[in-house]
Amino acid sequence: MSGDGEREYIHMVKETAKAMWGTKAAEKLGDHIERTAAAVYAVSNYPLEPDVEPVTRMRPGGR
Amino acid sequence: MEPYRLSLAEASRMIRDGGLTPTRLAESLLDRIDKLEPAVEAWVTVDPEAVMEAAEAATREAAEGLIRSPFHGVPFGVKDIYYTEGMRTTMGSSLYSSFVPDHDSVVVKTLKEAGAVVLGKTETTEFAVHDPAPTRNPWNTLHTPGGSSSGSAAAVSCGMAPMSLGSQTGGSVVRPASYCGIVGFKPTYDLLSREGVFPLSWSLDHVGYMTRTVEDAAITLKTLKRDVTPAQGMDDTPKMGLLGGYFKENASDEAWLGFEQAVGKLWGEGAEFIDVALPPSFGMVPSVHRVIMSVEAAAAHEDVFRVSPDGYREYIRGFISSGLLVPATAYLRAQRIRSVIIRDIHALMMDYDCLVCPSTVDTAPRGLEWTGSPAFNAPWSLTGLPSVTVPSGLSEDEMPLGLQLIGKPYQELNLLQVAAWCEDKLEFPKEPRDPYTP
Repeated sequence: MSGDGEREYIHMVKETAKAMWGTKAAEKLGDHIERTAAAVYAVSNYPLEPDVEPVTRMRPGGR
Repeated sequence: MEPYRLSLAEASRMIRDGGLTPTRLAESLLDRIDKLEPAVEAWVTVDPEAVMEAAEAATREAAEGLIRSPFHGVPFGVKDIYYTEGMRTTMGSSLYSSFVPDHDSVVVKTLKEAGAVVLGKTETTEFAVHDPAPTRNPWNTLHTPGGSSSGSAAAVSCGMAPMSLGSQTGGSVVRPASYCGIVGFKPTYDLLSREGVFPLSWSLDHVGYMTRTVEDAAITLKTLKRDVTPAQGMDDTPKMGLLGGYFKENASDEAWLGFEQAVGKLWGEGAEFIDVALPPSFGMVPSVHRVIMSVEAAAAHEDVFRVSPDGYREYIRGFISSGLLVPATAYLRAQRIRSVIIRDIHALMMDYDCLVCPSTVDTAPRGLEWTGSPAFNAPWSLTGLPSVTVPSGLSEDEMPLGLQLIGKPYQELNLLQVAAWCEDKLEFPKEPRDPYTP
């Protein structure tokens, strides 16, 4: 799952953060941004069938 | 025996039988708080006058033969993210340092109606994320008690309260309870109302609590949810699905050894353990949990954060900021993968009374800067399954380890039945802990 694609995605998110909050602030947030971006990349690359619906109102066990 | 040493069940029985008054119990707990609070720092707010007033009212009722419930006259702690009418509720944040709600959260209201006495508000990490509270672990005050329900865990552990409310979005009940050598329990998602509990992540937040015994956890549940599904009764010994894989790979050597020793002891007492292979989707738990929690936290805090970003401490500030950058499609995809994980885990556990794994990656970390990893608890917050930690032993440096049991949805009392069996066989001391500073 990791590799160039993940690195590029994290870099893109960090650049977005700089544009939003400025370089200094974005660098201070760097660890969080990197970890969440890595999680987003993993989630985005997990294969799913189209009929899998999101949990909306969670009722474990279907109740 | 000093009343602060009593479990909830013991105190309840004595109040019912006339051997103890709520007034005497409250005095004993307030004295205990007075004595230990400088070393433990578990409380944000304690109002002794209000406590005594409520306890005296409960004493008068008991004298007239009115016992409202097993909680009649029993004081309890409240994590400082639960709204309490007329009592400051800070969320561990400078932004809410003088916020006083005009109503009680549903859970607090239910306990008050059952005759329970609000002892005070316990310390939480800021907005129940990771920026730490000042609270120290009674087992060794140089160590964290864990978080986010830091004050609740420490207070119950050292006998300042027989029960204290917590909340769990990742591992905020089970982890601190395990670190402090007590029982921590979170029921199935949404079994207990979250109304009046400051949100962190709507689809992950659970109401939960800490006690020193499993019996007390069951009493609390039956008080909070009178129509909870009754226990079905188990065979003489439980059949448990043993979780390795992710848990073995991420546990410290000492935590895994302690887990194996506890499992060995229970096996020797007749418990059946069957190795269970985790489904491939389980590998997505950390990423899915992070995406959902960061986005929902960002959404919950967005309005205040936009106006007062400097009012947030470092960790939660970064966490919220990172959530603001997640695409909507990624959030929805995370919730779709969550559906798959829930389906796969449900299928996995149907043949067992419960699943079992270590409660935490390791014992409570030294220092107060980091409240420890929720990695072993977040899967059960994500899947919404009931989970409980039972103290199982001590590490080499005498810090508690816990056994985490995971039950089927809405089968809380079955889960607590197995937990009580394990508690009995593991023989971990249930008495309040006097704080130790090396």
